[in-house]
Amino acid sequence: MTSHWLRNTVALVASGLLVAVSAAPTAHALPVRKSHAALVVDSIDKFIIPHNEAFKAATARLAGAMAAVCSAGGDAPSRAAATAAFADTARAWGSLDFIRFGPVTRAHRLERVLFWPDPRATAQRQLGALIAARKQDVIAPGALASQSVAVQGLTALEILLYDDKAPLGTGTDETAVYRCAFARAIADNLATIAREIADEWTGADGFRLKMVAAGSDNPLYKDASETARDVVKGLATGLELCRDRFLMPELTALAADPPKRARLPFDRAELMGAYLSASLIGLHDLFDATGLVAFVPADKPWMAEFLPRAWKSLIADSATLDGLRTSQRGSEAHLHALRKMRFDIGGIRSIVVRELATNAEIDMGFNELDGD
Amino acid sequence: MTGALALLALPRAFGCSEASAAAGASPAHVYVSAARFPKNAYGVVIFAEDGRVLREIPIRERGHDVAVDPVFRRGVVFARRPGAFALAFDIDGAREPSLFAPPPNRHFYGHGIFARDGRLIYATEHDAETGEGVIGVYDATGNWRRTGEFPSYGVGPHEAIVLADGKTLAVANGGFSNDLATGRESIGIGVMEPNIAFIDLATGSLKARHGLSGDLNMLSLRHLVETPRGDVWFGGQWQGAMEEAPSLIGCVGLDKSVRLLDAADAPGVALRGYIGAVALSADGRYLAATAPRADRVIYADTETGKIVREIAIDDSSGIVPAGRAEFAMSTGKGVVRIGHDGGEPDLRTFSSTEFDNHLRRV
Repeated sequence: MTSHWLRNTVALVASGLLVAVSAAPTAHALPVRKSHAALVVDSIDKFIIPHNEAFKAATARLAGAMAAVCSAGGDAPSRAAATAAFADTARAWGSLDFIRFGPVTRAHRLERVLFWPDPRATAQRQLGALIAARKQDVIAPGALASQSVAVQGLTALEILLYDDKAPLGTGTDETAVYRCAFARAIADNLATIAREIADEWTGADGFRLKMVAAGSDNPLYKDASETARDVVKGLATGLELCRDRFLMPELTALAADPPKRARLPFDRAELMGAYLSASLIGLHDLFDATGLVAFVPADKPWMAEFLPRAWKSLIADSATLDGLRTSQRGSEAHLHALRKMRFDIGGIRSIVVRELATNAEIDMGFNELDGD
Repeated sequence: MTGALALLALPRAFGCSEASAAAGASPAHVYVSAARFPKNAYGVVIFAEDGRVLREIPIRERGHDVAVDPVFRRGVVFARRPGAFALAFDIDGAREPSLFAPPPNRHFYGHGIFARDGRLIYATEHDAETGEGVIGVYDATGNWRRTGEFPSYGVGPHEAIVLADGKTLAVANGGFSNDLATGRESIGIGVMEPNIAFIDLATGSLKARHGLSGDLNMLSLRHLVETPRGDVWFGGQWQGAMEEAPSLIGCVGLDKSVRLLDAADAPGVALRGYIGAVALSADGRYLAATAPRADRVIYADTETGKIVREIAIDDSSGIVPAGRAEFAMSTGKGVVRIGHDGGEPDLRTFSSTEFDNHLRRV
């Protein structure tokens, strides 16, 4: 279902630019090998720009939904619409948060959209202090952008929106009204950030052109192999993020004696699995857009069969995680799903970095890729 | 906990826990580095300047830096951040390696440094409760027991060095942290406040601390070296937008605030925002900094603050002085380039070996 949602959204926003999901390739019929330049152009036009547009559209709907909650006195339908819009926004962000170059790196946008990891609940603490102070200038249009990154995005909005003890928009006292206004300000802030990111990718001075026009006069990219390296690095980073954000904390917590409850992103909204699924689907879409599967080495044809199987298995397993966590946390089935996903992620990452990228002459150096 | 950190055998030609030494005369210079081998096996490689591998020591996960004992011929490799083990070993293989670990609510950040007398080792660590950095102190006289700790006076301490006075520790607090549960994902990038802290080793108290101005707060200060004049030079890693990367190299002192090289002379964007390691030439004049994302090493004249040389080398990583004004540099491609004053460098290639961030000379 999540898969359909994302694909439909992306396809809709891209105005016909479909994110191709090829049939499982076989060793005998691999796609045509793309040049570095084509790999980059396709990754931008078929993945990065459509997904950023989808995120922009989702945040615009979220801003509208939050405004409705506050003006409708927090009635059940408006709150349901707001939580649905929040979930759509989280999924849209999850599908591209591993693209960590270009406009998203400017002005702390990455951290402002999602403040995570947050091991010491900084967002909750700072949010509580700001709401207690009830300063109107903090929630004035555009003012939130200059506040702490911890209170500007999805992490803080989740705290406000998923609070059963104080349903957003229902109270009439000063604090309740301020809370709702703060939530609106966050949603508006997210919409602004999303618009900035999407807009800065396109246009005459857009980051797309900086990547496509690599050359000696381009201070950022001297040749197409450098841009291809950033794209493939995004794939590798995304796979690591999925593992380090969702799988490892859960496995570590369950291995403790006695087992602990892992602190996961979107735990309060119960969107952990949805976010992870969106990330994996996004990574799969990006992988397809790169066309890297064409670079399966001739002497390792099994990889062409392993890769689609592993992607499919990963995405299917991620869809089961929320249910397993709720009803069978720590069970053998839960642990099996986590370990299997860890295995598949490791396998895909290793093949992408060490085999496909190498075969495509995209140099992913040991220290360059993940040094310290 | 230490007992759980069992050594894994590498799929290479090892004896028991170590590979045997290669035959030949005693080398003039011995180098040591953490490395990755095929099938995601990790270890420490000890090799001679002529390229002979003297010893390989397996470790269970990826290492980072190796602290070399200035008195006894020992080294300690630290797991990279967030790391839960360190392995002490004898350079000549005279004793079995010893594994030690930080307490459960601490983890290593990949670096440590011996005291001048070799009796203690200081490790950069993370306090999981507070998120602050600490310096763990371990007994290096035999049992590697943790004897105490003091603050690093910042978040995410990375490299620390004992200054020439033997009494002061300079710490590069990178500004962001990691947690064992969430692995490599950086914590607090949006609220970074990196600094270089100077700490009194006798008391653990802060002597001085120098941070960066607000517009430079995303420059994570990570690697350090001291000049004979007492200045501390550093290499940083930019966490912001690449086109906004400032100069990545600069210096600081106990009573001197941070100064960066002129960005026009050493543009951060050309180095892809990332310095992997720094070293000072034996004559004390030239700073070398590796830039693996830009596939090069740059030399800066510490007297003029100018970049005086660039060497193109794929996936550069570790660097140490060689000769008077030259350097030996390792790469993730398994190559070590040993420079000679006024002569052509020697290139040594190590098969199936990817050298990790840091290279040290014994």
